[in-house]
Amino acid sequence: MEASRVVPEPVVVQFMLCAFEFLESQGSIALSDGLGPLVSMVRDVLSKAEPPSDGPSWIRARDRAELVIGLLRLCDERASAGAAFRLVNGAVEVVEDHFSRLSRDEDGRMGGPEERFRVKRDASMSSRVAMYRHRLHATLIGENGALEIRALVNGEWMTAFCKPGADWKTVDDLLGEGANR
Amino acid sequence: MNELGQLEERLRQALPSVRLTLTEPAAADGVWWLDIEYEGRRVVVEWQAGRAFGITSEAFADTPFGVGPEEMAQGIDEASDRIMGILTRSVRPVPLAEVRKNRGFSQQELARRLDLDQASVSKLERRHDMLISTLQEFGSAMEAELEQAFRFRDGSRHPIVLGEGAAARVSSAQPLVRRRVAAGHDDEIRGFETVARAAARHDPERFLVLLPAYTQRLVESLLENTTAGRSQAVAWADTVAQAFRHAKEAQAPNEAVAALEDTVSKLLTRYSSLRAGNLLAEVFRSLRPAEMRARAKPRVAVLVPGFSTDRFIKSLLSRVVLKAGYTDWLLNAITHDSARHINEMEVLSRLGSDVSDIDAAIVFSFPHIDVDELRRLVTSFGKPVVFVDNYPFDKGVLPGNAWFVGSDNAQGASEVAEFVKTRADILQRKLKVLVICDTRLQMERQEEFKKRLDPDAADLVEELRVTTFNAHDVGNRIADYVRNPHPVPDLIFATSDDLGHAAVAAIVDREYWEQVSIISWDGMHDVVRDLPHGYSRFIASVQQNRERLVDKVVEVVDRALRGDIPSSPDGRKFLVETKLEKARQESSEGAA
Repeated sequence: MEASRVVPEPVVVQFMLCAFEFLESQGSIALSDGLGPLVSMVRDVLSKAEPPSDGPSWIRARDRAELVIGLLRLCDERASAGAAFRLVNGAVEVVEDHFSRLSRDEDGRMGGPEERFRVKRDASMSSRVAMYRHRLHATLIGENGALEIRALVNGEWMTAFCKPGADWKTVDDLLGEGANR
Repeated sequence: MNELGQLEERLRQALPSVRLTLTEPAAADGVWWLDIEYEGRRVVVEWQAGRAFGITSEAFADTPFGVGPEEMAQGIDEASDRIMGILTRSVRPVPLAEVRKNRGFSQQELARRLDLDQASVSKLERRHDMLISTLQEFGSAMEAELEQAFRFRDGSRHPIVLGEGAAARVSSAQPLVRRRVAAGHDDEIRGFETVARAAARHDPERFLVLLPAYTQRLVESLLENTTAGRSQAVAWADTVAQAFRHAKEAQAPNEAVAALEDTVSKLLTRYSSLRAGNLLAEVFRSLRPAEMRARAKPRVAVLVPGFSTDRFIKSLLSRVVLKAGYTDWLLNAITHDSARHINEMEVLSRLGSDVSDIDAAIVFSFPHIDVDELRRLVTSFGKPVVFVDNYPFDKGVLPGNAWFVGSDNAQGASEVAEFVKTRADILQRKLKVLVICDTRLQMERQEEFKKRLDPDAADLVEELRVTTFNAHDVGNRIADYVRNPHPVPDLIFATSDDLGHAAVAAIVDREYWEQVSIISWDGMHDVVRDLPHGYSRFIASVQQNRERLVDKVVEVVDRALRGDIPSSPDGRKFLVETKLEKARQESSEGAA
């Protein structure tokens, strides 16, 4: 059964292989674990994915974002901010390389957090959390590797994805601790 | 105060009730953000020193994630105008019924004006699709005009009219977007059309997808922006078009497309400061030379029987993709979760159907297949097929378009025989050897081993032939034998890793275990690692040299595609040396 009616099967399979390679490189999945969870996630997202109204991408940005979040969910908790930063960027890249059909500097391609997007900390923010602002979302990365993605929906910041660090503390936990200090 | 601060100030003065949130970057040269909210409409502005303002309206965003701003504005004036436009003039799309109610019309009133009954108006309002003329009538009944426009990815809005005389009507209408028509723009458009035509010839399938959107965008960009660099633009367009023609006509398309990329790269550098240069860069990006180049390279399908976790396969795939330069390869696998052993025919048959546009195939084959059907499929495919690891045709010859790359079983078996001799020399006695083999797998291994076994060094006390892939049955057969062997063997040679694993499992709790060495084929390291400490008798395996095997596969594919490879039956088999390796070294006892 084909995973998607909009993405050719070879593209899907190619993506799964590279995504598997990526997860393995992150130490998040062992070869012996097989591809089951990854295959299920990808097929689930792609079964609902649709082509964009314009542009060359196979699927809409929102479907691609769902794949990125799916990959992040499959990963083990990170132990440092650097590892979490690399994880998000790697996940975005592997998804965009396969489904956006846009080169890296092209409009419409999703990108991960970059240093230039890091927001200056104000008094309310913990020094243990870095926030990378994007157009309508923000990525928050804790020094313990915790990750949180917040989306700006109807003027409100909503948590779209949350993953604790290796010490099981979330970004919210770190922010709370910062506030208590 | 930077430019974004000035913009913030201007918006605050113009719209006193506007909510503005300025976010400062950590680094001085980072990106600033301004979140704007006014009467339920939200706009996000991003700004970096020395760059244009990026403007995104939340209402138009497909997703909160990723992608850049929806439109760019040069300078505070343009940004401010655009933002004010969005905040004060743009109206959220609402259903027809809501517009009618907002304008104070009842369905009865509208029905009267449209000469319909009320039920028809109600039905009309619920429709998902309708003729533009019907919608126009609906608007007229409310004393409104229907505006038709395209909004492009860059945020610009382009009004349209349908039918003949469209241009005249547009020019007489009040423009909804600012237009600056450059004199002589026809020349530029013709230049772009030349490019478009050339591209269409080179990659019609791709270009047909791009043509409508990009043509529209290009023309609009020209009308809107271009006042300088016209002659350069035309010259450049012609050069690009010429390069496309060469690419199409050349005997060696790879080189031609590489030359095309070079040409474009130089032109991009030369004209990067010109507006027309930027536009042309945009054109060329849309034509995607990399993709065309990929198409000009061989497309190689790698057919694997399901998602094997074998590192060998992963290594080959990486090699094929990364090193051999097949930038547009395919991995075509059947992915039933539970099916490790799938019907290879199903995979191969896809060569002729949904995977027809490829130049060669690398096939990992299982030995238990219908040889005649496989031969038919390969022959009808007609392009080079390289089988890897398992020779698929038993003792038969390969079809004329097929090659085989595998390990040298004879040499591996010879190494095992040599090891037996060495061990007999060390122990200074004749060894008793048990061979366990699968009648459907690699019979060559035990046949060669028997041929090369020195009769003075060892006696073959038993040849245990199993004929099933069911690991449990195999284990039972072996366990039955080792329960009371006559005599107890000094060495077991299992001709596959599965059989080696079964042999270890069956023998591990026998009291004579410590006397027995086991030699297998591939993959014994994991087994040894899992053994209880103390069970550390000599275990070894014949290891395939996977790196060399992979290199050879890539080399054979390359040569087959170039036609530079033997086509005689004898010359189409490539064997790579194996190596006997101890899985765990117990003492100084020598391996082969």
